[in-house]
Amino acid sequence: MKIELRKKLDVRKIYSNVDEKVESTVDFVNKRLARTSLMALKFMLPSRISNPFEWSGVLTFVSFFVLAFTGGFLTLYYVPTFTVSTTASGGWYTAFDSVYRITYSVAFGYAIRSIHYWAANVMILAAFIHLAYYYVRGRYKNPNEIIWVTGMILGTLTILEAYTGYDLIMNARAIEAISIGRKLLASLQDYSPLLPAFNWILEGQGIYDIVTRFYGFHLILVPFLMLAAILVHFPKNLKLDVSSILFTLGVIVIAAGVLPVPLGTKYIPGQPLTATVPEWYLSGLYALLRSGGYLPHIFTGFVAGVAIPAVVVTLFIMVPFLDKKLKRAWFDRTFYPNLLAGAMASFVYVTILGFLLPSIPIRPDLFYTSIFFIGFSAFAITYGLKNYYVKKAGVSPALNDKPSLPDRFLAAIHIYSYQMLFPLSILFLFVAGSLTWVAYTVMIHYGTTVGLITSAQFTQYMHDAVLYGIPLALLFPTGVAAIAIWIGTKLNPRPKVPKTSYVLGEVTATQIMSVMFAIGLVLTALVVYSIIIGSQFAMLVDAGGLMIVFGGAYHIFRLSQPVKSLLEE
Amino acid sequence: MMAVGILAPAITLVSYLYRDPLPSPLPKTKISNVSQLNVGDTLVFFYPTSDNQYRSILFRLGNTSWTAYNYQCTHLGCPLRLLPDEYPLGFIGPCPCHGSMFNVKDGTVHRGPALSPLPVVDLEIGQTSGDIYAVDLVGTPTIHGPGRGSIVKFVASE
Repeated sequence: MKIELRKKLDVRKIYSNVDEKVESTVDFVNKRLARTSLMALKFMLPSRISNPFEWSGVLTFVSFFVLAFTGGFLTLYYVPTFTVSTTASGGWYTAFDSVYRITYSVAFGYAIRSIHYWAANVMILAAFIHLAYYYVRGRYKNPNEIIWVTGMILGTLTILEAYTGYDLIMNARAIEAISIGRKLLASLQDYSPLLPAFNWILEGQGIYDIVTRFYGFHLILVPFLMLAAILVHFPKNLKLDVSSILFTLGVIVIAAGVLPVPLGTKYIPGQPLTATVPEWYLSGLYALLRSGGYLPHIFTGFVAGVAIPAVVVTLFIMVPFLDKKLKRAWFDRTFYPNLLAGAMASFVYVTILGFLLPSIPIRPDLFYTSIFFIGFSAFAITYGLKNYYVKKAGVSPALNDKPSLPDRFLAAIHIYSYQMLFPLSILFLFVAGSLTWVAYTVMIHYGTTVGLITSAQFTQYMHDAVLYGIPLALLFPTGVAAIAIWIGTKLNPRPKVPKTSYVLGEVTATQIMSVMFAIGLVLTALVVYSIIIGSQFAMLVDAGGLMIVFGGAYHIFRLSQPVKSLLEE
Repeated sequence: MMAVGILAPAITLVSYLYRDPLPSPLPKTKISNVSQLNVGDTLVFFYPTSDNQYRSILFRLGNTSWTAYNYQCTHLGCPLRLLPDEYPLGFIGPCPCHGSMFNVKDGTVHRGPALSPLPVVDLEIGQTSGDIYAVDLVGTPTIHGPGRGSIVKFVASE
């Protein structure tokens, strides 16, 4: 009976078919690309256990693709305008009204807008990770200088694209961001009336032009420049990891379903603005802008908002021309990898400070001293730690036969980061999902007892909670399975052949895959059900879960492939 | 799973693109009241549906002289606007996309790449209550066609 069932439900075969399809498609595309102007480009399937940071660039591009796709659909209903009725009763008709319409009256409009927003956040986060990893690995060195410089340009353009994007909503927050941008462009004139004021680049004739210009920049100009830079930035061999791409898409879609992006309040000229903090990737700049304190004539908008960021970006661009030693591994290099630790610590500090006490000016003496202090401490600590371990081990920790405990820990993070990243993220999603669910239920219950919510609404809300809760809870066994694999790899003695020699037992893998397949079926049913009842956010959560589970099972299948084909890769 | 993987996004995008057809005949919708607009004032409103894709604008040109147009450029559909400098001269525009301008009086093209006059919204005004109603949108204008202002019907009682 048991054997028959296993034969009937041969999950392994399904995934091996998928694997064959993926490989043959990649092969097909590679051969055909040879006839195009992209002849050098080659897609490669990564070896089964390799570092996911290696293809963080591809994940950034995947988010970019999602953005282009959803953005294209958003343009169909977005109206870039800012018009007034000259009567008091008529009010303003602005781009905000069209965003409002996309959000609340177009079918699935809120879902598409939410995906667009979360894909932007994921893209910027992935780009930061990509930058940090490739910096630490010394990938900017000869002969990668041009790739590095275009990468820095791409990063700057990405931030600009995000900035123009969230200003298009024309809510109060967007107007504040726009006015900061205008002030920055005009601030050069503070130094001499003879210098040009560049605010007309954004403004034109006023607020009527701002919205059309931001639309043009966001839709055509900046993406076109980004595509041009991408064309140069793309390496010859692109690592195409299906499961991590599905994982990225799943995270974007689940985030869009669980945390739909708010609309904000409509901006009407003449009404006072309340201070709001910009998005997390710009809150650091916001903190810098508030750092004038009692020395506003020294730390002007130009110095804090233009000069300091420009110096930082220029330094990053200049790195390959300053650090010319050819050694790439972080344990063979001093100074530059530690410099990144300092820069990252300062960035995190400035970013957090941007969120604290908005609209209150920051004292420049304390602010700049603490930036320097935090940056320098991170630099010194990493510098000292690294020197200590390299000296203690004699050679680099990765090559030592009997490394110390911290070294083994670092090595484990390095080698098994994928296995860790995957279950930990799912665990995080599960915990966050369950907490949300519990909080939601408690709140609804409270609302019902107080009399805020009718019993019909209570039933509806509980129904929603189950619809969101089940998919997130179902991801939990997936996470447990993946953690079990990781622990298993730690308990079993490691074979002596290279890092990539770990193989998951075929039977174990098949069992895990069967469980995941069953979860996938439940999630599929939930997707269908949420489409039928027309709940767009439930559909997003379920579809995202489906992507993650499917991608995870495919990854486990690849882990359990025989070693022979692994060595061929 | 495969089928759902293809169908779910397809259903999402198709229903995103779907729009209800316009009601026929067009409904009679209250826009404003005579007392709320002084001579020279304008009002942006949505007609024939409250859906803001159909933007229209109402002008009070004189004491009893009213006109209303669809507020999208007839060239490529960009949202039109009034500039403080241009409107007193009697023009709508220039359009932010390619600079077309239209005459306020009859909606004909004053300048620019647009070829057709603006579609007109016909009005009905209650003489006692002073309520202004939009009753029809005379759309699909012909190229170089004669423009006209709104036909305004003053009704004694509703």
